Amino acid sequence: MLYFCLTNRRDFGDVVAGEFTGRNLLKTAPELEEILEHPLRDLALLAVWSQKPQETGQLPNLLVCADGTDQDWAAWLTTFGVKFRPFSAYSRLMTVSELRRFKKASRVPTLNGLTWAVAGLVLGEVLAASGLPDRALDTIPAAAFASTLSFAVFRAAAAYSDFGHWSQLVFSWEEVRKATRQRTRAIGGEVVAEVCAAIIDAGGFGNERSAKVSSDATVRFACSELLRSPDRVPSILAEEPHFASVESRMHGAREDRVVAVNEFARSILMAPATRPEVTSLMLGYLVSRIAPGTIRHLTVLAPVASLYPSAILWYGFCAGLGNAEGGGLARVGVGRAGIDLPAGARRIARDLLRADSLVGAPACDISYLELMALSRTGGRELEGLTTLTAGTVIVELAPGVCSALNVLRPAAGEEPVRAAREKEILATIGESIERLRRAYIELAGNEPPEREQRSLFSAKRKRRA
Amino acid sequence: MTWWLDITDLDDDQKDVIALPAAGSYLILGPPGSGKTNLLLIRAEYLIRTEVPNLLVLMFNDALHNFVMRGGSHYQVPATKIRKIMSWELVLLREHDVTVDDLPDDDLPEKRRLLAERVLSLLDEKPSLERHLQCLLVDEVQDCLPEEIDVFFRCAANVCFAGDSRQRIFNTKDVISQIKNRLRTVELKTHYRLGHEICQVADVIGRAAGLSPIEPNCNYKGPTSEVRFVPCVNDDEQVKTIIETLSIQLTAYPEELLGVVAPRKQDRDFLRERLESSDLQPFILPHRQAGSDEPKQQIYIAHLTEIKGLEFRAVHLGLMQHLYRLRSNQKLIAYTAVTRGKTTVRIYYTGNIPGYMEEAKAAIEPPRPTPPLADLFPKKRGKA
Repeated sequence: MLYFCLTNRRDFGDVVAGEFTGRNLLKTAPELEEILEHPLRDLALLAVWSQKPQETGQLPNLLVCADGTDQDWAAWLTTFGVKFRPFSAYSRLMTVSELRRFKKASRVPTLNGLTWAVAGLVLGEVLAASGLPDRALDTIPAAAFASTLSFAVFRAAAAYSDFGHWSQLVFSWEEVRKATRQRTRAIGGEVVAEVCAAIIDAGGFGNERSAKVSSDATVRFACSELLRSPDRVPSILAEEPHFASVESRMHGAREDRVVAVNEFARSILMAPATRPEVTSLMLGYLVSRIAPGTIRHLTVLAPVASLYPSAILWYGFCAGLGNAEGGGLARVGVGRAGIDLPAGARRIARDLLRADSLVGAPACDISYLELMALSRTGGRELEGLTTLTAGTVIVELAPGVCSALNVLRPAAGEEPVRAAREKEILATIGESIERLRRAYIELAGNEPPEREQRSLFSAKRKRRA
Repeated sequence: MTWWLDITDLDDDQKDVIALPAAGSYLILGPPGSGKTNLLLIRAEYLIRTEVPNLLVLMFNDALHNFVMRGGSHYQVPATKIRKIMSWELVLLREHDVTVDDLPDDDLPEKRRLLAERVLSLLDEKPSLERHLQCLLVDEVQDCLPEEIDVFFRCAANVCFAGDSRQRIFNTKDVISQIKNRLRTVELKTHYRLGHEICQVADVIGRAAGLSPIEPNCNYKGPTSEVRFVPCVNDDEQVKTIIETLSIQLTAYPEELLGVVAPRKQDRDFLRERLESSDLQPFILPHRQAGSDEPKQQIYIAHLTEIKGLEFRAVHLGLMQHLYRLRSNQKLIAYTAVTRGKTTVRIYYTGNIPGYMEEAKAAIEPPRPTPPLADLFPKKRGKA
């Protein structure tokens, strides 16, 4: 049973205070669809609760507004609802059309057996973005995985059968990072988006053509082949110069495989590729064949990583696709199922497939819409947010699709402590200067002249000059 | 500024105001302390968040501008979007190579009129400048000139004005009645800043100026308010009493603004000189600065027309025997001055104050005991 109330800006305060009288009567409905039948005119708002608000005292789980008014509502709520800012940590704000679309497309999250490959892709993006060695994956916090674009994209792919908002999602992810002044990554969002688009296209996620489909048909076709038969070499790559000869050396001793890939990388460096996307895929695929199912050979890609940054993404993706060495595949329920990937992969898989409800309370700290509304007035838009972990803010980019952001803020009381510490240091320096001065006087064997401290430092100043 | 921000606890007028859509032009009216300035700034914040970034909030004078800028941390309106009316006009004219060096510095009303007229001429010459701003939000609009109002309407696609005819302190025409016909008006009736006694005094002064009362709509919930008339034998005694009281108020109201205000510039300068040579010197704000980074600087010294739009926890109106020298606008200025105090207003004078002030004094003083009828007869007294 759902509880709802049709209200407006004038009465919104009464509704969130639990005063359901006069025009703001609280009603019930068994289904969301029934609630959405209420016409929403101008700046009217439907507040929806999954539990009886008089008993729980909670803000509405869902705020539904008329089409085209969501940005206005976000600005209004965050300006006038100061006492429950950020409202989007408690209530999802959506237009009627959005809600209908999301509701229709939402499902129990699934990645059609690509969970481990996507987890590998996310790990690859973490490495490509941070420039860290692959060993670092064992200690990197989960927030780093949740901050990637590939995580957001495939979370959407998992949560919705027909997501259809890829461009908006990529745009939101980039805007949120810009607005919160995140560190510049070693790999551009557009590079990641292209790889994700190729996989989404090949994997058949959603019926809308990927907003940013890889421009190279070979990549798309090779990706499709990989998804269909992860244990087979994509035939289309075999047609590429040098690939077949290197690939044929990837079945012997591991040392020979490393030598083969190294030679391939050197040849690319000598003669830069005319189709970098295809070369990146070839590189990633070949490195993943050194020890299939693992991500332990990033160093092999190091010489070419700056020229072919998406090679690391493809490496992660192909590593997650399977451990053909043992004959099994890493697809869910088959073979070793990602067991040789770094432990973070399991965490990524869990978070990608986590169930969420459109009418339940959101699990984020703030939504994209509210964050952007706040960022328009400048200042520190992330200040004062209640977060689960200090230094990390979870932003909901689309219902149920979140991204993690770093937020560095001084710990409570840090400023006064710092000021006190500075004073302490200055006092210590002063004492040291005084001791030096006395030592100098003793050595010189006479009383200091006036302003002796100035003369003490004059030689040093001269030397600097 | 102390105003509501809790949307779960608004009166009906406030609900009307917060429900105003982003598009459109509005006039917000309300008595002193009803939150007009606050509302204007919050509306600016809301508009910026709805992607209306090309807006300006215009303040009337230095002190108010400074006060708002200091309180800017409560609002998330970028400082660059809060300007003074005249400086905004000057910049606009200079941007378009219009001469402004010949404007008279010694006649403020004339300077304002000429400035506005030049902006209007500029708009005639360059029609592309019409509506070049998405919105202009103007505070204390009751003291604007009709020419300035025209400038606002022509420079911005939308305007939002806040004002109150009761608080008009310059000899200008009542522009609010003209504006009302051009905009949707929202009126705040209840006010929250002024204590009841302050309202009573303001209403007596206001009645003399033909203003409607504010006491019936008082919703003040702060510390007990007080208005005291302090007759003194001379100006020195006034200064001494002000200093003694301020010394206590600095402790009673830490980090709150305390005002010392006199009718004219020379009266202000006299008080400033005397206070600066006292122990209160470290607590006095620099001239024309209604705020400071130094939290212990709480005392703002000004003359009556400099405190427009400001508010003080306690205000000392000194040398009020000179109030009559402000001539025709004195009642409105006195009204505005009294309504700057939130909790305490003290009115000092030597000799006489105008009749309407005497009446205000009588209104808050306990009734004098009626002398026994017998006392009226000297014979009986003589016998006793």
